[in-house]
Amino acid sequence: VGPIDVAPALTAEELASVTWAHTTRTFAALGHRFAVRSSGAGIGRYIDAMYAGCAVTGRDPAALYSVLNGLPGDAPHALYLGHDRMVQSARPAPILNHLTWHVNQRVIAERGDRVLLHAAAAALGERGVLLPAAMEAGKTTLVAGLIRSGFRYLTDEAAAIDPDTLLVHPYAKPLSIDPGSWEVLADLRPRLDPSTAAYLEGQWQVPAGAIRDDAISEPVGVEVVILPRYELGASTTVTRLRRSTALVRALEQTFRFHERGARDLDVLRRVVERARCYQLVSGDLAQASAEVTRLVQGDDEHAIGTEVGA
Amino acid sequence: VTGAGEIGPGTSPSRSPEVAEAILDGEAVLYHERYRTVCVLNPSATVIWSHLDGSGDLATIASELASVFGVRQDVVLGDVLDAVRDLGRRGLLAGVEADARTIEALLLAEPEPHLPRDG
Repeated sequence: VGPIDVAPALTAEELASVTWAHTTRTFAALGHRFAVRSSGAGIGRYIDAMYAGCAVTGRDPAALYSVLNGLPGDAPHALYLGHDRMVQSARPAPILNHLTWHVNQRVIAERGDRVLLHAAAAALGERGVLLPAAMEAGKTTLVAGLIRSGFRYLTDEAAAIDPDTLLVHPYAKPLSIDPGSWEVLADLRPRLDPSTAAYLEGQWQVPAGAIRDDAISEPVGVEVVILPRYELGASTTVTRLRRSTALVRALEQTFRFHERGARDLDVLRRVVERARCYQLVSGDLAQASAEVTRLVQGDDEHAIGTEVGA
Repeated sequence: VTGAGEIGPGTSPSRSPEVAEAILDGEAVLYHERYRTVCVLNPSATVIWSHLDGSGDLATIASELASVFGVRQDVVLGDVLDAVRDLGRRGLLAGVEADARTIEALLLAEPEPHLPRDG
């Protein structure tokens, strides 16, 4: 593959002269307030739907992203933030991937006073479940299954805990579903025209509202902390965890922990102190969802015991 | 600053002011703000940790624990010395030099948001 011809970045004047087919509502993703304009109407409408759970009224965006297509050269697709080109690509998928990734980054950077965990979170009524885990542990797939099972959505990526109330606040980003889960979540495949669908090659971005109406939760307290791990072919097992173990695993998944480590340690101690804590290993989404439901409802008869050793 | 190996029955160690602690169900989770390390103490080590305020030497602490738990003092003293030297190597005690390799093993890495997949 030879070098591709990437056109120079657009000047501010050139950006201003673009005819925008769609501009989204303003979204407030925790502290990051943004909107997205696009030269293609289809992708613009889809981004509007993706972040519908974050839409706010009566507030201007602090950041404006621009999604462009049809640029000259071999890389006709581009993403700008303000006047700065962030990425330019021959294919549309990297544009949407970069947008969602950048929004996540800004959410973490602008976390404010909250403690922010790399975790999925959902609520059954007013009972919250926190699912901290590293990448590829199956957080998004599990939370999608939980929404199907009647839970409401808080996040699949960054759980924001208020240090005073200890409530988890929603960061209702679209669920970012990787190809490994496309088969088990086939009904969530976005139904789009081919040019818009091309933006989702490699990763589906699915709004929680597409799974169920009224899917976004209000802020809730954490009643259960579960460390989930997907293992291909594994039978579903639940192990009761010591709270100290759950706390350390939560610390390991805390974004920018070292900035306010002592404060975050105390906040998470208070969260874990009030919660029941488990590890869940599963290779089956339906079983995992059913097990989480039971645990949140207070039934841990299926738990196989307490971890041993310190 | 002394080495952890120099800690003996007559030493009166104190917890480092750079360490934040959270105690859950009798187990201490300790975070060292400068080293950026995290470690968990088992219940026995947590009891010893809670006594390290610099006011009493380890022989005295061992004597107190021996009477509380009904165990021979010389046995408790050996356990206390092992535990406190270990705390020292982890950099958790004021005025005790940490062991670099121990610190490295306890470092807490922070997560990063998913990098975009190049679909």
